[in-house]
Amino acid sequence: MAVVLRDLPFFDRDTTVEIRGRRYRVFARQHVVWVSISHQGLREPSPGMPRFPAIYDSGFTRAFIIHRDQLRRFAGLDPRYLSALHTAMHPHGRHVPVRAANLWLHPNQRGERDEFSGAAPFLLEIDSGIGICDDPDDYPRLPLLGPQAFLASGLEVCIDHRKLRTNARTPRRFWFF
Amino acid sequence: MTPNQQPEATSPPAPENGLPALADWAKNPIYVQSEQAFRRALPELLKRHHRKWAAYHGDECLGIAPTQTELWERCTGRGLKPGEFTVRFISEGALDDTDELGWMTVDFERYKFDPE
Repeated sequence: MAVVLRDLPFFDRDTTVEIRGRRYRVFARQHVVWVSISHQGLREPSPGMPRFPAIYDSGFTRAFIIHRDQLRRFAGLDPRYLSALHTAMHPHGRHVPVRAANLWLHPNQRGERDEFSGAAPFLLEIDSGIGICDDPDDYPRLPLLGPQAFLASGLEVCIDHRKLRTNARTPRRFWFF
Repeated sequence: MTPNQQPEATSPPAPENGLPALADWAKNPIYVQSEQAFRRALPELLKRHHRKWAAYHGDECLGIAPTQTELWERCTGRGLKPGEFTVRFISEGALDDTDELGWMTVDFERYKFDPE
């Protein structure tokens, strides 16, 4: 069992998060996690792989959605470098193309949201691709991470709404009785 | 370590591990065939390999494994290029379309309008 997120805080007030010198608003009770995007098939993260914040949204039924401009600005990726799949998302009736990619979840420093433990990022193998929207007006302010991203790894996410903390760990492999 | 202590992403990183850029797998007939084969096989796969990954190249199942990456390595190790195979997670919702179509959704099948 490995702990990936340890006492990751969320807040009952609005905050901001900084990405490459620019601050983005995070609403109260939104859960920020830091992720990276890579091609599928990589066992190790790339050394220069940029990380950026995403909102963990348990109501989002897909793995991940990001705007094309955010993909360029936050992840340093041109969408064309991710292979197009034959499916699409249709959040709120909009057509959003899907591309093959995996995500990496960055372990936080205990009790800190925007600082990191230094441990290797945790690979989230994504089955159905990530959505890359290009709507100029209507898209999430920050990328959304849905529970489907945790499906294959079986990551256990525990949200403590009294302490305003989130913990995530890999499932126990063995049980002792 | 803080968010600002990381390399600047000023340009797209070069494709790694020989993975091609500008690929559109959806237009590759062998990829589409592989996806269709997975879809056909899913009911049987669910019986014996639930929560594992399956790799298909055309109609051929190239393997079942606990991780996607393992199967990617197996497929590329056989000389297949990305887009010539598919690696899919075996789960009951693998083929579901689960998107909300609007902010308000009414289940008309169950919702009975009562004028009173």
